[in-house]
Amino acid sequence: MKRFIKNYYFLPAITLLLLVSVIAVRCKKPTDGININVNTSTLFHYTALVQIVDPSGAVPNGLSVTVTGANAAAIYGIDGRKAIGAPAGIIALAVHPKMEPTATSPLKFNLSITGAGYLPLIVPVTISSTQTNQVIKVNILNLVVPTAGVGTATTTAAVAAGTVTTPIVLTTPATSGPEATTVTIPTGTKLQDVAGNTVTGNSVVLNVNNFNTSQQSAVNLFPGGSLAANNIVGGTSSSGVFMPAGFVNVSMTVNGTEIKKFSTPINITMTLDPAYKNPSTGTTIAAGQTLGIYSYDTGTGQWTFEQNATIVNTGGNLTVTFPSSHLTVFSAGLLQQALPALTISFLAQWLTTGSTANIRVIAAVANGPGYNVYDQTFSLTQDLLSLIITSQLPTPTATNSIAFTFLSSTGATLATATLAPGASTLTVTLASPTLGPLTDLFLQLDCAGAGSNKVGIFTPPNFYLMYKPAGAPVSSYTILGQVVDGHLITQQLLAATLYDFKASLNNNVKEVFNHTIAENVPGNQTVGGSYNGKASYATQNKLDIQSLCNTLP
Amino acid sequence: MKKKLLMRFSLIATALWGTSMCAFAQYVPAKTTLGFNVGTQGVGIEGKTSITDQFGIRLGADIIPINKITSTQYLGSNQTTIDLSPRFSNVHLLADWRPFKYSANNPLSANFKLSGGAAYFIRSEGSATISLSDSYLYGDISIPKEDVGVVTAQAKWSHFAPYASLGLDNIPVFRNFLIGFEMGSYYISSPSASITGTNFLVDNDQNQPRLQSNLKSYKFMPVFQVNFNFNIK
Repeated sequence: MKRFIKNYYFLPAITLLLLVSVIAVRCKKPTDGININVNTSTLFHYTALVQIVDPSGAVPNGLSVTVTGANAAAIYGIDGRKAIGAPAGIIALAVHPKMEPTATSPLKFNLSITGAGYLPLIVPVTISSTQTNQVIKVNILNLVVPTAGVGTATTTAAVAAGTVTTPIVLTTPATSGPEATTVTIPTGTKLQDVAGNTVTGNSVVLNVNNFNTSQQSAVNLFPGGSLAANNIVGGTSSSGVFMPAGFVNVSMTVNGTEIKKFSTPINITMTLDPAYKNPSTGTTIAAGQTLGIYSYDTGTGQWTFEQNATIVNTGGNLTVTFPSSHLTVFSAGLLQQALPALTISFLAQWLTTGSTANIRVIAAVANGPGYNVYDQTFSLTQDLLSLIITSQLPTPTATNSIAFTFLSSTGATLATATLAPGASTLTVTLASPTLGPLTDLFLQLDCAGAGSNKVGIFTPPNFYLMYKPAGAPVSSYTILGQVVDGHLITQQLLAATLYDFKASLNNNVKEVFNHTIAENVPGNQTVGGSYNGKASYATQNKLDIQSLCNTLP
Repeated sequence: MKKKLLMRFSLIATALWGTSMCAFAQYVPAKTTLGFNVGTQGVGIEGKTSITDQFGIRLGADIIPINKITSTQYLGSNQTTIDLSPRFSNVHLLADWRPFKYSANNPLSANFKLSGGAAYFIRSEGSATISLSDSYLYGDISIPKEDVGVVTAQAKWSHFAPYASLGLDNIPVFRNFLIGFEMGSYYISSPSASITGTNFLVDNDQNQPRLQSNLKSYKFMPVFQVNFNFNIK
């Protein structure tokens, strides 16, 4: 035995070598199952949500969005794609991180929005260096479903090779008042396309939409989504805030080709809101006074001063008549000088640190037209208790101040304030709205098993979460707030109320229905499947936006 | 570069050892030697002395002189570049036992030894810096890989490690120049692992439990080394 050991002492060496080899083989590769995930939640520093609202109550689906203008190259969908969608009217925009605005160079661009059955809409958007996020609500005119305050008339008339052979007269029906528009096209008028070529055809379809400015729902459809404009050609000022006494959209097609010009001018007569008050003087308009006629190019968003028109008493109604050799949207009213900037500072001691509250800011000329001139919603936090409204409001005059109303997310009035002439700041104390429990909505994506190339837990890019009371019409969705780094802390949700939620990542939308915030407990905060290996929770009890995993780039 | 140098050095040493084997050099009892070694544990220096013909002790230190090993591989859906940095250095105290005496029939019998002891690892950790190999495309936006950030995975083993090995040593090549061979292992326990990320890779700490599990069986540090010693006494 001893001799055997002496001669074969190397056997233990081989055994040890084999043992070590076995150990080495047994070892897992350190990177087995490791997935390197790229979290782009902080990629964008500037985002904007444009909410297109159809005031007829319908949900604006099938809209197409094109970004134009000087800084269009910097604008992407929030999913990083150049193709921008508007599912259900929600447009989630982001600024390329290498093309962000600076203090001296804000980003300016236009959103051109078109859709079957809708009047084309151009929304000018400005993103300044101080506006890391913003929500812009814009109304779009439904050409199929009537909207309160909008009188629509359509007719088909015979023409000969694109030339009107008998006068065409079309008047819109009145809507809760005398406001209406009559379009008269004289005999011999040649109907021309945008290039000035006569469009041959045997019939013409004429459509007129009159917007009754005594009704807010109609004023909300003012071209561009805002009464303010900074691109006015002609007239006395290149910028300002329109105060329309009426506006009208006139369109015409021959064999499907849009008519944009005429060989001889047509006549447009607008019957005005008799209660319209001159915002400068505070007096009601009367015959003999003049209003400015402005046209708006629905293709480019360009405003042009056409002429001044004298108000005439026609059978007891106040009207203005003006000729036009082209077709588009026309506004009759006064242009007010825009207030360069208004800073509103809020005092809201009830606002808990870290939570977000949405405040709707409504402004009207105190002794002017009866409609609101401004209506947007802002998210406030204790870190952001002020906002700046730039060139959107008329400058208050000696006879007319600007009246503000501040509403909670549920419509409760939290404060009112008045901006006097010469002032450019306001300090407003907000009363406490009805507050729900402090809730941290935890919205990350668990992409395990989602079938996407993403595996693991993801924080989606900062996106806007919308909500509505459960069962309310889809058009009732309003902004709850921006989800930042997967969190949205709010007291706007009441404990026992059921809500529906909607998340949009550009072209992809996820809705969940019938949830209470009571479900938002530590073990149940993650969306999707399981979280960090913890047990899965019933889908019913989650804000399940897992399907968005497939949309993450 | 250092890795290649190490390999070449190892090959030369192995050739020398082979030469000495072929020469059937006779066993020369060495009392005290100083030398250096090269192997999987790195490079090191070592002094040893014989207490009796069968027992001796060794005191030495080793270090892995490699800064970075770079490789690429897909981790999930992203191709990554991995820079692996092993950081191991130790001082060790070992005891050698030579169970066999010199025999003319088997001239290497007295060179065979069994060793045991322990090491204190001044550093016993490895880190891997993982970055994307290419720019990351978020939608239509290209994020330069430098902006994406890095994931740093770290594994730390215990500082104290017992050791066992067997080998041949004190094989003369030239006058007072001895060569030896040894293989064994340190028991360094399962490591504790951590993962941290920067910039857009910050969420990858969720991989930590997986890494910890993968490294669970990495308890041994195998040692295959060649020793070069000079007889000083």
